[in-house]
Amino acid sequence: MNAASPSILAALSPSDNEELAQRRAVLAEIDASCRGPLLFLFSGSIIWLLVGTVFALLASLKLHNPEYLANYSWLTFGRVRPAHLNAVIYGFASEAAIGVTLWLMCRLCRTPLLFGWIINAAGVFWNLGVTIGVVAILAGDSTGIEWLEIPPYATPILFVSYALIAVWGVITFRFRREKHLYVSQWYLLAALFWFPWIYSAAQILLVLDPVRGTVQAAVNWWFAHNVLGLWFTPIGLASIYYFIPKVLGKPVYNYSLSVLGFWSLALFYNWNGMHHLVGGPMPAWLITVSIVASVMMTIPVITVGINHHLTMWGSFRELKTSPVLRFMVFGGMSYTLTSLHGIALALRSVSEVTHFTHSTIAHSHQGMYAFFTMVMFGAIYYIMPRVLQVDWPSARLIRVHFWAVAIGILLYVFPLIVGGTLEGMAMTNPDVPFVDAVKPSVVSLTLPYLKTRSYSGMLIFLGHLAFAISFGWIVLRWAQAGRLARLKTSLARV
Amino acid sequence: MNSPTSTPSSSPGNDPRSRGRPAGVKDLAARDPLEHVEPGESQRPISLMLVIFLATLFSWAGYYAHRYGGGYEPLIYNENAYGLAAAKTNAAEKLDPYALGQRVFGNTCARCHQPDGLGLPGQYPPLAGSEWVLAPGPARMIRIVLDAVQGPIPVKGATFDNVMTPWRDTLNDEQIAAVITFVRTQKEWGNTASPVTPEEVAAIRAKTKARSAAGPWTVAELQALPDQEPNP
Amino acid sequence: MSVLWILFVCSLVVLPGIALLAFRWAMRQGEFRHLEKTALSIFDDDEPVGQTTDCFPGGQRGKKPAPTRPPNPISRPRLPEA
Repeated sequence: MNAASPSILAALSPSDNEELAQRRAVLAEIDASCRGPLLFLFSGSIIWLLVGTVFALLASLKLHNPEYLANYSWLTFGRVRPAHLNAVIYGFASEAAIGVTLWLMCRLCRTPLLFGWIINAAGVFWNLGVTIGVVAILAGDSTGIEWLEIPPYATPILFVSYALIAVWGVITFRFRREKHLYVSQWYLLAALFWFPWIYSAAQILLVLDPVRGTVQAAVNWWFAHNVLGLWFTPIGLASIYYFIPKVLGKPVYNYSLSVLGFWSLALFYNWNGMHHLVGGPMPAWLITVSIVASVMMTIPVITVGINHHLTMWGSFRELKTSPVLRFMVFGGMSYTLTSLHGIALALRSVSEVTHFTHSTIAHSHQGMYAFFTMVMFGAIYYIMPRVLQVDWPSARLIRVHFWAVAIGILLYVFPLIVGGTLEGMAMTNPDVPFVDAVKPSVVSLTLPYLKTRSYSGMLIFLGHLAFAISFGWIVLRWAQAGRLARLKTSLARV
Repeated sequence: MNSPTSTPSSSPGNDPRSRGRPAGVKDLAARDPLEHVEPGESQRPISLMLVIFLATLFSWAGYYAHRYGGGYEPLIYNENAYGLAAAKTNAAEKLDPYALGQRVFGNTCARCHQPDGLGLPGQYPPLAGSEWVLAPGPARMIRIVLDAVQGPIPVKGATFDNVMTPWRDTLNDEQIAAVITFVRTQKEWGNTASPVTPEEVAAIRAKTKARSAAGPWTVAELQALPDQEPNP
Repeated sequence: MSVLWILFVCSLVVLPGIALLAFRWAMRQGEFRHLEKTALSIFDDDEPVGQTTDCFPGGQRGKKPAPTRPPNPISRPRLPEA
């Protein structure tokens, strides 16, 4: 394969040892078995990423320029924002997460993905469900429940599709040929079970047979918080646990800590969520327990942080040469930061100021984007060349992608945290009016931060475009390489 | 098992993956499939720092959950209701009467008498510096707030001909006492009269129960009353 | 109300039960032993130690030569004889 780079050559180079060659063949077989499903899932997720970013930009622009596109009911803020959220959460992030999960599962179990068409079929259904959901939201048919806006006629499609994928992931695990379970497998397996649990519980309690009163808010926050913590976080951490040691060629710093990290996450995370209701009409103990659980999250956060950062320690030089490592380390550092920030936000005295401000938005983007999305980018950069046996076409595009999204998200998160905190302090101060034509008000105070966010959104969109071009190009290269190989074999036959 | 032809003698010291393990031990374990005792990491003692860290966190968690848990009662919304005894009585919190009065004033009185207490000339009489407010005793003012007053009424040299709204059925004793206290002691308006207790309001409310059906008080009726409410 | 009862039973009995079973299964599997071996299980026998396995397209990986390392102690599943 003429397009292969050194990294691919290493996996393909002929070996003098027959046994090693055989093992490489197993690896190649595993990667090849994932090719179809991963191509489908990653393509879908990148399309949703672009769509979601456009909606995000619209929503951000409307916050400081309310007349913009205000005449189209489909593009009002109340529809564009949930459309953005559902497109990136269920379209981009979940689909990329499923793809990475399946590949990691196969690699770690050392078994090929059997019957890939089942995953393809499930992927079609998943995309169908998200499309119906997003269009319905734009048409004004949202349930109005944050993170669960997709109307009830689209969710069963998502359920069926997810069930197929999760069952297939578990079956792959069942037929593993590797005796030892690596910590990533723990996280992945748990996430495959946790997501249907929280999603179905929230659907039943909020949409199908709604509970009454303030319990709805409690369930909603529990879901919104746990979909991050029990679905995206484990998959992100599983990826970091695999890719940083794998890329560096050195094992995790302290493996026994990683076991502690996993079980403490499993024990404490699902208590979280109620701390967003500090000051609300909720029984005091419910909020207190949530705050305690948030603080107890220090255990998994610190152990995972030690493992990620100390594995990296002494190898920061490699960041220059490895794009995967860049994204992974950025994601790992963001995880530590965002978790510690989140723990601080859960405390009553802090929450009283920062709640109901842009600070919460900044925090969720720090978790969902600076951590999870960056990790997914890194994983896709590692997986695609191995699955397609073709290297990425352009180093420049990867660099543009990395710097645009890295600077973009930093420009998004940190100013908005500052702005949100100032906003909260102004809102708790009765002398500052909410809106005022002359005097400084809450609205005029937050305006510069909201504008910064729009600029950072444009930068992030640029990065996503570079990524999408890169992805399309590598697929094109693979298709061409395949045609070339077919031509060669047919010529040889002649 | 690896092929026995591989070289077990290559120095493990160069290998970062065999950190902290005596040379040679791993290879023995690797060769003997019956070897179950695993020297090395699994027997490494747990870090003291980790133990202290976990112990601190769990102690804090226990303290915080107990201190701010409101006794795990479903109807306790205030995290400072400490301990089960306090939680079960669910006693209403004692509010600062001045702060409560300020809130009641903002919600009910300020619409007419204005947030600055100066009223509107010709329509609503002022409360700041008003001789009706600053009377030595609150007997008249409590009656006015309970059942309102019918103009014309002279205040600070001007006459206002308007009808007030009665608050007997809207505000309770504590709220009326608080708002009268707030108005009478509001230093920014120059008011420095004495505060009023909910008991005083309750006494007058009971005494004037029959009178309330007759509508607002007239100025003549009020002026006939003594400044200080006689003790019953 | 009935939904809440299902929720009670789930949250107090079923879910902790599943978690305990999972933990017991992991104990029996020996997941909490041989930790260092497990940390190495992601590497292949022929993988160079301390050398990055990823680089920008067209770029050079870390120049330092790969040190030879002792064989990975974990037995590998073989490819089924075909």
